[in-house]
Amino acid sequence: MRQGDGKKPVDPNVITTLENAVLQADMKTGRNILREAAAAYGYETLISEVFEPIFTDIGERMKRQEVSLAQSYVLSLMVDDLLRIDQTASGAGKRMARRGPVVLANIEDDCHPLGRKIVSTILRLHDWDVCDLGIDVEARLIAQKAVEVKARVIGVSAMIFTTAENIRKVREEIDARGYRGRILLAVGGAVFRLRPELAAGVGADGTAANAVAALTLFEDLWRKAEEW
Amino acid sequence: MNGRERFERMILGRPIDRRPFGAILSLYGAVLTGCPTERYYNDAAAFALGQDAVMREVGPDFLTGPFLLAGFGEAFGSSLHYADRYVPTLSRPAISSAADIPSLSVPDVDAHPRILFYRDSIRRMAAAHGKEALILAVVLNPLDLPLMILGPEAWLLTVLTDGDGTRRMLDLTIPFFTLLCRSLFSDGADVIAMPMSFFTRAVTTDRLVRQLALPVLQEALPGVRGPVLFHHTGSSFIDHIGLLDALAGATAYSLDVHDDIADARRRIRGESLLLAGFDGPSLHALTPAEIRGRCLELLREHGDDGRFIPAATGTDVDPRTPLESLLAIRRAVEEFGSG
Repeated sequence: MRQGDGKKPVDPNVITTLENAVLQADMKTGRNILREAAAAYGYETLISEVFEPIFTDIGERMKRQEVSLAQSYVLSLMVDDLLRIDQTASGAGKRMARRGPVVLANIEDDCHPLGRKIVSTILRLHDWDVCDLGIDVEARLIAQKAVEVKARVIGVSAMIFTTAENIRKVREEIDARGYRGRILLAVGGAVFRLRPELAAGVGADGTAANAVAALTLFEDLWRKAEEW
Repeated sequence: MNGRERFERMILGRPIDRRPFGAILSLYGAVLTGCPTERYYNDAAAFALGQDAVMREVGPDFLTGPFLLAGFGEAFGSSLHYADRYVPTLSRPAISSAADIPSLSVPDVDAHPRILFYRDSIRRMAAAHGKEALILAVVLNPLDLPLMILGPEAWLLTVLTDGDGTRRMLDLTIPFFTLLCRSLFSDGADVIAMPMSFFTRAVTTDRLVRQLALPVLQEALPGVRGPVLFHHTGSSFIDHIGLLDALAGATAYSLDVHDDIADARRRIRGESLLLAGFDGPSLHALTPAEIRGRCLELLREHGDDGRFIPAATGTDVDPRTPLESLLAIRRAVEEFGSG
């Protein structure tokens, strides 16, 4: 996240109320506060002084598996709103990605985008350039896109065992193109939370149990990948 | 004494020869008969043959109808993904947003092939085993049903941001749900078992439970006109179990394997049944000796709770689970006897 612009000091109640809105999955209240706070403090302050502490606290809760799907989704929707506020306020192109690119997709036959979208949003909030291919994407196309944009990390999501098996094909595509070690493969989704050992089984270089852990995983893999 | 008699006497607080036991063996029938899943989940006769095998080989005190949650979505126009040994899952939802709700057609419970599969399976199971075991019919409740019609993301987005869209969907799913439950009772089901995603820690929040999920069930359940088992759906719903216990038809609960059974009992009425102890999808990770030992330990620990039933809950027992593991639960309840 970027540093704030140090304008008006933030009312601590704004942080508390916004975080409570996330924890109660109260999108309506959250959006109202977000809009008012953006007007009062500006985008940079909102990021650094409001969302940073909320994200840190909710991230800790995620690590303890205390955050529900509805709460994660509301956080993700609010971050989406925030990124839109940035674009609206500053015109096109102010917010520049400083890391990446990375490629995200739901593997072939998997049509459950929620987890992938949350990870995508959290990565973008942290200045990653995310190339999000959507649901039900063939392994060939995922690898092809990674090579095309020079991504050093691919993140692939699957919800159930049978679709997770299709991720092996991404591993094969990466290797067949000669990019083993240069493009690393991260996997996630419900089946990997239940069976983390499956990640190695499908040829992944790492997995993460939630969006916060995914952020750390992408940073680790990006560092480990050979530059090309 | 057979399973039906055990349950009936247990509910009345009368002595029984041993605790009832069971597991979600809906899919396991396909394992026992070697039936391909695509046939098993489309041909009620094949499904019923699988449950005959479950009764013959395992002999539980209750049988579970098709635990085919995505099939309810299919009846509304979604498509299924078939896997070799597992239950079909949602492939493509019928619609992608609440804006498309007007395009949905509600399936006729007396004519739609998918609904007839559920109903005919229950009829056959009840005819073959209804005198000796309880027959559970699994139905998605009106708030969970749209997960299989819109997909989880679009339905969650609707619930979180679009009150009108949520209501429009519930106006379709509540009457369908109540009519289907009543039809299944008339087909021979004893209990409607319903997954409770919107009450679980993994999915919801306390606000959503109180402002959305609970009112939906308060509206829908009186129309069901029969006993209901609230099922935990792979994550704990113990925080809200007390709220459920006041609902029409509330009769039984299946708990997550990590839930504290005594704590759950404190939150609900003494006469409500509690099914708990094992996680069906991961049961194969335990040896039969471990299962037997754990079951005896549970029975000793909760022996005073006259309405505790050792069971493998979660979703279906994994097909890799050896038959011996299921028999280990049975042997433990027989060994413990009426104690």
